[in-house]
Amino acid sequence: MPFLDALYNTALRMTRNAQDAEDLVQETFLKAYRHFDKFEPGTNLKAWLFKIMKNTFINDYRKRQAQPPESDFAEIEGAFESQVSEEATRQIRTPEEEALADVLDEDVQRALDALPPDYRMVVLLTDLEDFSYREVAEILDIPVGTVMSRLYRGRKRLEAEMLRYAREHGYLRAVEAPAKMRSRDEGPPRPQE
Amino acid sequence: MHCRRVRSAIFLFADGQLAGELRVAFRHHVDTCPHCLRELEAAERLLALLRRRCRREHAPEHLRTRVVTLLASAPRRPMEEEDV
Ligand SMILES: [Zn+2]
Repeated sequence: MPFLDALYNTALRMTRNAQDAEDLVQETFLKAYRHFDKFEPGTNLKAWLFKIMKNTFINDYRKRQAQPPESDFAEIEGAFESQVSEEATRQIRTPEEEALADVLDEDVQRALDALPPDYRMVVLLTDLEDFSYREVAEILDIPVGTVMSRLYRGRKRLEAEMLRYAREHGYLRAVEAPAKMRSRDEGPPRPQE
Repeated sequence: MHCRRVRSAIFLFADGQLAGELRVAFRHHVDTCPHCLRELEAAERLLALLRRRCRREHAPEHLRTRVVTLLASAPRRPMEEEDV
């Protein structure tokens, strides 16, 4: 079954529910099978399957799941340029960025799940499934420029979120360290006066 | 190419979506601008982290079985209906 794992992995992150993810994948394959005559040979089969899944998800699941209001999913684009220039002038790279090395796998997961669905989809398709910008645009029916801005903001949010977790972990270690030092200091008995 | 322009294109470059002259100009800039180079390295670290650390869930075996069974028993492509 081609791309079953990839579809399931993405479905799980879209529905956040194993049962729904299984149903979504099953429906995707069924539709693909029934409409295989619509697949253009020589084009990307994986991208075609993902597009069917995305459409199925939007048509069936989002309605049923009583998801957060539409505005969450269709966030307004456009502030991209100003945001980029704002970040470009801010220049706040510190050695702290090395802290990203400390994040745990769960943190990456947690940060990804916390992204708004629109951003999450674009990040998943690009970073996990290795689709090109053009393919992502095709799958999601959005302009390439929108893919780029969502990807930019999605990744920036992920980075910020993961840094926050890393700092939390760092803080925990910082609390432990002085305690050890103190006990070491108290170790050797000081000469009595 | 100015820093601002380079910053806005960092992910494009890191994703291999920047081509031709733009790519050359970008490369030239980061080779000579330590600030932008640092930004690029940070972006590349982030992307590597995402690719490496994201857990991938495998489809459960019963789903595989279910889909295979379903497709085996599904009606053949309903050509008749659609072509009419
Ligand atoms: Zn620069």
